[in-house]
Amino acid sequence: MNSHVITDSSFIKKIQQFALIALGVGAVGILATAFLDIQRFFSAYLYGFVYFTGISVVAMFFATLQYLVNAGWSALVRRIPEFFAGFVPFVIIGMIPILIDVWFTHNLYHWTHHEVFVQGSAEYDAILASKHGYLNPTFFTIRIVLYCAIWFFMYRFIIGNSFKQDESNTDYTPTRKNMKRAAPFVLLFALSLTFAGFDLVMSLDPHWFSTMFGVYFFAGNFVTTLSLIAIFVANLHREGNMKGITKEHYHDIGKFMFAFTIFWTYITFSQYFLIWYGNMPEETLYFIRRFQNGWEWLGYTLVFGHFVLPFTVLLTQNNKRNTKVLIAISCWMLLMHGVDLAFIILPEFSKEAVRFSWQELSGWLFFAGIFFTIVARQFSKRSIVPVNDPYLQESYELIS
Amino acid sequence: MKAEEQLAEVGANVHTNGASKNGYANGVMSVRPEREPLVLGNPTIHDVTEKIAGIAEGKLTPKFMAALLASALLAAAGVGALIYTFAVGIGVWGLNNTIGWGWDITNFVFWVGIGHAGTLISAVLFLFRQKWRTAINRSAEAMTIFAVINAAIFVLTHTGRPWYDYWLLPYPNQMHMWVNFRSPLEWDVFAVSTYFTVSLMFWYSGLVPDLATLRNRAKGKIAKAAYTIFSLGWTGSTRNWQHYEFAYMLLAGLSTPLVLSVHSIVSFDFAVSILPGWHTTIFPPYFVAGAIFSGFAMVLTLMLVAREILDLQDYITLKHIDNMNKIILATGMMVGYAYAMEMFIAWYSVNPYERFVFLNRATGDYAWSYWAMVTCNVISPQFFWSGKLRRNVLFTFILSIFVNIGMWFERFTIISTSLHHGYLPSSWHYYSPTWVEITIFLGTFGLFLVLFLLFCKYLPIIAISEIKGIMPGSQPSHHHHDDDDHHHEAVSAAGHH
Repeated sequence: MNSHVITDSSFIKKIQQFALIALGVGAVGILATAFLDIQRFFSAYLYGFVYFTGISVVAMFFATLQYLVNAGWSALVRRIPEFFAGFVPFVIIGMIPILIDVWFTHNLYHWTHHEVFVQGSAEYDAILASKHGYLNPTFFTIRIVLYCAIWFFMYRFIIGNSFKQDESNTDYTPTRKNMKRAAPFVLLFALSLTFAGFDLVMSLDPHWFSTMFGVYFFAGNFVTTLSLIAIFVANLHREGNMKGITKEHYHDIGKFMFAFTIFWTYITFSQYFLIWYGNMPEETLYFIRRFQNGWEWLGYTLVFGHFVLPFTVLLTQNNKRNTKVLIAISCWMLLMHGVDLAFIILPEFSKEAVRFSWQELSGWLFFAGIFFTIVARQFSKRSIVPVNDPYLQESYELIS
Repeated sequence: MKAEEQLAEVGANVHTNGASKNGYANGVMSVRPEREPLVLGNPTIHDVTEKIAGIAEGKLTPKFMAALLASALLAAAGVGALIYTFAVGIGVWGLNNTIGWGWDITNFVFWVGIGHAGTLISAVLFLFRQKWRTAINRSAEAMTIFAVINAAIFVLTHTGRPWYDYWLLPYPNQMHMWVNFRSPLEWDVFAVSTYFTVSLMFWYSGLVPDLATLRNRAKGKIAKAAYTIFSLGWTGSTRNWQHYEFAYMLLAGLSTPLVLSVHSIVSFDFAVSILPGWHTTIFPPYFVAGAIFSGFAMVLTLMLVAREILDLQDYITLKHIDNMNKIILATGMMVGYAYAMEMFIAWYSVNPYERFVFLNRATGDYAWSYWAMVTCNVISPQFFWSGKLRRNVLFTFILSIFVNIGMWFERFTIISTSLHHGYLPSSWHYYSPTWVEITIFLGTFGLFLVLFLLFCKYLPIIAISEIKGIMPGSQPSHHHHDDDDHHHEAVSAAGHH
């Protein structure tokens, strides 16, 4: 067994330092917010939590997908998303405050107030009463537990088997197990991510609905995960810590980012366009809220920043194969995902005026701190190369 | 030649016990997974040319003529029914005031959907570097073109007065007429015609090197002249190949958004309305997934027959069928996901009309159509979880027909159920097609088969040059240093992609 654990990387050290500072600043900020404005604390918490939960779960999906399609190009890259998936067990802990709020403090979700379901009360809402069977704390908790169980099991199985394969180059049982089970896991992933999107984000406005929302939630997360993979691959390769990686791998990751930037745009536009064209009050209310009081600037930013700019930059071969450009556009996409999530989450908590300040930022920093601490630890424990992957040679020889 | 022998061995292994336990070659769990070869029987570069060009050069057999005649008669019946429609008027169809769209638009969407596999295989799978596409891309692209022609027949005749169809084009005229750019039906004009044009160009540019091969081999005068004209003076020089590959890549890049856009716009025909059951945001990707699903099913239906008759088992291998069945399973699940989302959100929306429409779909007058759709599209592909069944040719053939039927019913269900019980119960109505509509639909199958048979007879149905490019030894590779001669020959013969 010849493993390639990165022992000396200035990039990983930087990540560790950033994580430590982010965790410290974020924790202080979010605690201060909790004392000043408890609802704002929960909204900032949800914002940061959804951001990194999305990345880690989708990173796990990305690794699973490579087994499902027997991908050859990605063998050298696959460990990076597998390390991101290290955050998945933490998701279970991160859900607890949200469940506490659903049961006791009722800051996040309007439907958690019991009065809205009680006929005759001043708060009674006939529409919500009609979907009480789905939107109630008990069923919500059951669903959250189910998503966490699926994700944790998927993490243990797929990522676990990938690591296990490092130990033997004669017994390919772990890899074959992953190939065999990848498809059902992808199915479970699709359903759990969709409904997690409905529950955690869409039900913030419990009246609004969109059949596309699950796909939309996935598309944004997928672009972000690819961007983060690109940042890690390019930085580690630049400092000589990912031997075998060539510009061909940059190119393939860049192509993936390009394709899914367009996919995100396609999904987002279709959802917006059909609601705009249909012009039915029950659907348009969601966008009307997001196109007034300053929130509209987030929407305009997305059109430019989440589509026009990355589309233009990633269109050419040279840019995809250029370390600096690839890193720059990937960092930009991480920022844009932050804007995207702010656009769908935060207006529900501040309808009168656009609001994004140190409170929300500290929510993001807090989870960034935890996420990058866990990821950096993975680098010190595991081989960066899946040394016994049957398609490793193909990845070395990649011509994109 | 060591590597080749090894591959041959693996190939033989797959051939004899192809339906290995879990769908992978050497089903034993602990053995290192290997790539299956994409061409079996170890043919030389020359064998490939002989085999595939031979099909186009063969004599017309009575069997072929009989099949062609039967298809042509079916197509003629369709033409007859169309002439009858034009002569008497669209009232000969079963449409009524409540249901203004019936089989016409159902068949339009059905055929456009069939046309999706070709471009997906040739463009998207090309960009994903899926080498197995080479065995099926040519015939799938041909089917795309034929299917879009059929779709055009329905959309152009459903206007009732097809001689005025040129009004759909925005051109300056003295009638003070201008097209309605706000209507998705107008977007269809541009989406479908663009799709057709680009698909045709893509298919044709891929054909050029192979047409040159046929030109060089042609014996008859007419054949020689025809292949000479259409092969555009192809010489096979490096410069030719360089231009060709650049053009091919560009067309692949341009076609990829079209795969998504065409059916998205077709879905807008329904989704921009505010009719319950039509107005839902998931429609665009849902229609695209369904189109790919039905397109792959049609490619399988026809190619499995062609594979048997033309003896192409070494080129369209069980591995190809396995892969296509996996895509059928994946897209079938996506369609199932969309059905589930529609149902769930209809309930979750608490919109009584929306809830009614979906309940009515599953339990109302058209429940038989809904359940036919669910059975064929969601339940039947589940068999493909089994690797054994994915590699069973007969089973795949039967199942592909189920999928074709299911996808037709999907469009019929969407169109009829939303229309037949509208907001005004006094207008509720039922719709069944007349013999005229049924004949036109069968006629389009006749036309599709006529075109496909002619394609099989006169054009190389497998991309000869591309097949050569994926054969062992044709690509520069670290594995094959020991067979350098072979390598050079292959590269010069096929170019490399």
